[in-house]
Amino acid sequence: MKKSILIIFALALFFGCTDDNEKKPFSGEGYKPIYISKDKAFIIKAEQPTILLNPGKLFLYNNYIYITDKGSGVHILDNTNPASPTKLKFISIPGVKDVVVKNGVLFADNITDLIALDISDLSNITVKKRIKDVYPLEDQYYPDGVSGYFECVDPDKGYVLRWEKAILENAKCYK
Amino acid sequence: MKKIKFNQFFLIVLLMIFAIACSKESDFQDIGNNAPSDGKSGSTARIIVKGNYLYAIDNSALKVFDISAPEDPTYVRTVDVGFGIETIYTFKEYLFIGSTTGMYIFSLSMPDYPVQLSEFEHVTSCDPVIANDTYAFVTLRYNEVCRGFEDVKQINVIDITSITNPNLVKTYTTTSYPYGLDIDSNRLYVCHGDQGVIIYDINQMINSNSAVVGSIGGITAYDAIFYNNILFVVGESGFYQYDYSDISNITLISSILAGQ
Repeated sequence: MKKSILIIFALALFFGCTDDNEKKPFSGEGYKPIYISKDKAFIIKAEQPTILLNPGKLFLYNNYIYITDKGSGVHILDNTNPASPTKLKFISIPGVKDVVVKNGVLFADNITDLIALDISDLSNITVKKRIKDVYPLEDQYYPDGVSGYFECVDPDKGYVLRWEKAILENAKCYK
Repeated sequence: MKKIKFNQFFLIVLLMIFAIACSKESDFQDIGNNAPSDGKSGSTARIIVKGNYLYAIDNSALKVFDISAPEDPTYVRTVDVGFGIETIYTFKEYLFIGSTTGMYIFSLSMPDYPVQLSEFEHVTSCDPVIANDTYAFVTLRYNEVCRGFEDVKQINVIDITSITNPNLVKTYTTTSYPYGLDIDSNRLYVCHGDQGVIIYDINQMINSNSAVVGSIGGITAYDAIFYNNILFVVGESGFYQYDYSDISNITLISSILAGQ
């Protein structure tokens, strides 16, 4: 009983608020999705060190630092000298939200999939395994960790890479 | 023992009780999220590693993967949790899952088969969790008035000495929205977005309404992690490392600013 009330409650919060009839279109600060085309969404690439644009999550392992760049990839840094951490590599992983590493294997989310990359040799990073459809596509339709208005996702535009703060016009979706 | 699949829930619970009872005397060492050999994730993590298993959350479920052969991870199972899951954290043999409606505690006595032990419900908000032997700390923030909910800026202190029956000890009101956090003995280091990192004394937090003992300003902070005697902070403005040995004089070791 209690559980069903909770579920209805959660449903109301997640979906009810997106109802056009309940919320008037909103103009002002909110979030908008940044898309990637579907044919590029699952391409993983090891690249040279690059600028940290949108710092996301951290994973720390011995003298290495792994920082996600929201929705675009993972920076690998050598922190042997904490006064001067050195960027070693950038791995482009579309849609990435989080990263962990175990025994030379990097795990990350890539849109709907979980991927395992061999990073034991940084000059030869390879995708070892891709487990498809770990993350429901519907998870893409809401910005995580924030509340407020956002521009509704249009799946025809591709997959959502990340969410950005933006000045919205007539936004109809709300979380 | 772990290979035996018990179907009866009460037997699992019984196992949990044994595990909990024994844990205090075991030599199990843990420094927060993950065991030291597993590296360390922050309180806002959505994927964590513990031993031979990887735990990932989506918006409503916990997914377990066997990574005993890391280059060949295998899916084990999905455990439904509830809507609005945002964070996953592990301490000792437990998983703490933060959702918009509450905190769920799972036992990892059988690491491939997390079993829910308890749930702590709180006001609707976003909520990273961390824990020590006695308490779980949940930061709550909600900055929109939706369907009657009030503005929320809180840290909930929850007694978890009875892990199956978490008990709210204190609701501490903060002056700005709290995000990710970490714990160092008797202090909490809580990220407060553009207000930086604010340091709270845990005893003062429980016994009074003014527990701030230090702060780091001038940065946007989203998550903080202690590792190798360094405080790592990440946020929109960049990535920072601090020497926190003297909390009245926390010094920046290095930083990589967003755009660098």
